[in-house]
Amino acid sequence: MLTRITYIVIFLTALIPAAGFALTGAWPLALPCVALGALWLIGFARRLEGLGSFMLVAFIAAAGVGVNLSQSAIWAPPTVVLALAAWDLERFGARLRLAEASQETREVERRHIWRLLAVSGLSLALAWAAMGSRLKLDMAIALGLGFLAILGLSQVIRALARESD
Amino acid sequence: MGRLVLLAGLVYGLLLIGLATLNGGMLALALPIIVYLGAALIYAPDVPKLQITRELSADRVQADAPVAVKLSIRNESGQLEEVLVEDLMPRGLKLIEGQPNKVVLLPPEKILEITYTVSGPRGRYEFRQVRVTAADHLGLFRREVLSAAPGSFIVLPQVPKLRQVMIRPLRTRASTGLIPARVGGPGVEFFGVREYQTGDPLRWVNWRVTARYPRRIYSNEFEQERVADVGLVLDARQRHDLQANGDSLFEHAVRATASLADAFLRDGNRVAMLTYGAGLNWLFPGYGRLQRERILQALARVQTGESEIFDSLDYLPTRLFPPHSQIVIISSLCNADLATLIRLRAHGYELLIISPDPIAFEGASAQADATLALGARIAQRERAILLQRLRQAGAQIVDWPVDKPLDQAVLASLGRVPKWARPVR
Repeated sequence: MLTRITYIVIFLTALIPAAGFALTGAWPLALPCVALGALWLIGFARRLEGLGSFMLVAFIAAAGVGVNLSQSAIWAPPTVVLALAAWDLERFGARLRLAEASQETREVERRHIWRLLAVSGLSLALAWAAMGSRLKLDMAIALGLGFLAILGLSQVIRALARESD
Repeated sequence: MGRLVLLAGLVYGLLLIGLATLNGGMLALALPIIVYLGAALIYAPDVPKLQITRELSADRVQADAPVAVKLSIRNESGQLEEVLVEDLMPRGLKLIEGQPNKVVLLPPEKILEITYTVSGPRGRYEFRQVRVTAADHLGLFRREVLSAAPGSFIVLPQVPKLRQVMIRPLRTRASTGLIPARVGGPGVEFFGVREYQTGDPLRWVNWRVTARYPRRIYSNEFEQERVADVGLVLDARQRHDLQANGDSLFEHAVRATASLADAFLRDGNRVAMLTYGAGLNWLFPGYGRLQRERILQALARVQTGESEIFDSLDYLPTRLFPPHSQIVIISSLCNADLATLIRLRAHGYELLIISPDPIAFEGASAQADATLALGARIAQRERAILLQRLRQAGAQIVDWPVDKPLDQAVLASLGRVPKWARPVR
């Protein structure tokens, strides 16, 4: 079941930005998305390590390009969310393959998928809401807030890195 | 950790690009990644506290026999959402059934059981630790602990059955056995004639001799059969550990030692064992099943080794063996060993050498080649000369091509000692 879901998510990760670019007439950007998606599907089938991380960066970059080209690229947040989900499911599947399949493993699988669904839904809603809102800020305030955000994020990431083994 | 760095890099990248281009859409794209990180942080696991016990279905088995391993793991910490439990198997074991790893959700106080079956060649196998990695559901934060879960089992060598091995040490012990003792008394084999003593059965009377001496009666005397002291010496020097086609000459030597120990102990003899390789490992003499078990366990653990001191047999501690007892050496032999073995004979020890043939062992796997064939013939001649010189020194030799059973080789080489070869005291 997990493998099937992963294939579907990878397929959608490639389809949505390709469709988004195609609908705005940016065919030279749509075709590479399709190619990357096909590559990712083949790489997943062959269990190539590290490919998922590369594809995550590639599709987030594609979403970024889409947002830069058009402010109303509503397909961009789903691209990021689906790319994150596919990257996560690939890693999770690899971890499950280390162990014997059992009733307990299926329970872990089920809970993981529900958790991912919840996180993906929440992050998609927030991203769409953020894209839809318009705030007028001074350059200085915007830069200051940005600097604070980056500083805060650094602290959080450092703390998280210490927490993890 | 790598995944965390990647996500952090993506968030920073998107924020910086968004700020640089004053594009709010880029900042919005960073939100899903931040939510993902936040969810992982909220559900980050505590350090797992687990109580692990291990059960093994046997603590001693024969080679390649299956052993079932059962681990019981009790969670004494909070809920662990995604736990990978890996039992670290000792090297050399082969997995037959089941898996030593499991990925589970472990609520508090829940007991998880992992069962699998392994087998392995001769040796001692020790289980030490179980690695437990707890992670959140999104796999960003991991806590890894190594918990002690000791357990061990020993795989004994095979013991091919051997018929009685004919030995004749100069000195025997007092107990009744199967070895002719060079002393007259109750027995089976005719030993000599002596004067009649009160109590001798009538059937012992030698009428022919008695007829020659009218005033005296003579009885037959028989050779007593007793047990003896036997010292087994297994040559565990690295140079004799030849490998070919997945087979090892040393393993044949180990099995031969096990068979000999079994045969001698079965006949009631007192058997000791010495392994000579990287060091000396000495097993005190003993009788019966307990000694057999000790010898098999020692053989299960023995490994070849290299040592500059014990490179030749010069340092063989002969004082460990009772004087004039039987020494059985299991070794492929080399020319440098000749002097030591002759010295052993000079000290009065009876020597029996079981020598696995290394040339036949390697020759069977080597490709047909004129140079190799010539080299093999030269090596065979040198070996034949060495064995001949040992025979001349009075040692009994069993030149054993290991593709044949040891029983056949022993029977062919030793058989029954002819009467004329038996010295009488």
